[in-house]
Amino acid sequence: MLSLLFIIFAIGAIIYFARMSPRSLDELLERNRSLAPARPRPFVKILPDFSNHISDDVVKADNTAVFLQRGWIRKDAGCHGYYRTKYGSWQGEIRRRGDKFYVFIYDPPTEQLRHHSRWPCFHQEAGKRWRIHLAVNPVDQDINSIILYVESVIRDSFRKV
Amino acid sequence: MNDNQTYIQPEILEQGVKRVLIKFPGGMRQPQQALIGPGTTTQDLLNHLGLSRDYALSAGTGETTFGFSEILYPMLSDGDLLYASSRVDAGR
Repeated sequence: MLSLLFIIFAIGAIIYFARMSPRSLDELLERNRSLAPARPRPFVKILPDFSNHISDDVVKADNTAVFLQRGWIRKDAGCHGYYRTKYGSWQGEIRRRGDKFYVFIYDPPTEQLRHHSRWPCFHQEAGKRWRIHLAVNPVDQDINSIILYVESVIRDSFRKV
Repeated sequence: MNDNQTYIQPEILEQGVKRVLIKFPGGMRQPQQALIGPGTTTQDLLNHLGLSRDYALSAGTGETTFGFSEILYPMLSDGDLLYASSRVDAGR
């Protein structure tokens, strides 16, 4: 008698779970996100000091700032140099006023840039000087990030043509 | 054991941990080496570096900037170089 009851219960359970389609399970999870399994934490380890992990025989990583690598100089309350890409180099200037940066490029490759999504942010000023309006300024006031950003926009514009 | 060596559990090594070198273009911070396992996102790595989402990671050049929630692990090879720079964007 007991085994018969167990069999009936088992059949009932199978029918119940068979009717529960995957879609309804997804909907249930969507409605209650707390039921969704949490993403397992991936393994990440920052080694304490890079210089301790290499011997004298190994070339150490170059830690020169980008603006020095590119030959930028500080002059007249601004930085002057060239945005350098594999497609060419363009003269540039970056000025800082408070937390905001004013970014300029001289005689930019307009033919390529006009197809870039950031082209509306390029505003021509006097002569060959163009200003690039920044919507997001670097949070740490690092002009190296701006140089890298402008170079990436130039590179992207050439790749899209 | 040598103090300079970091002990990593064998089962984690078996999962295929990759070494990456993270450089900071400003030069104000020393390059750091990190070990990342499968499923590691940009957010995970930035958190471990003590950086907020105001920063971005790119591979070598600015044209390969990774998204904040993008999984880095399959995009990188062991020994790759990453740049951590503050986020900049142009706008009207």
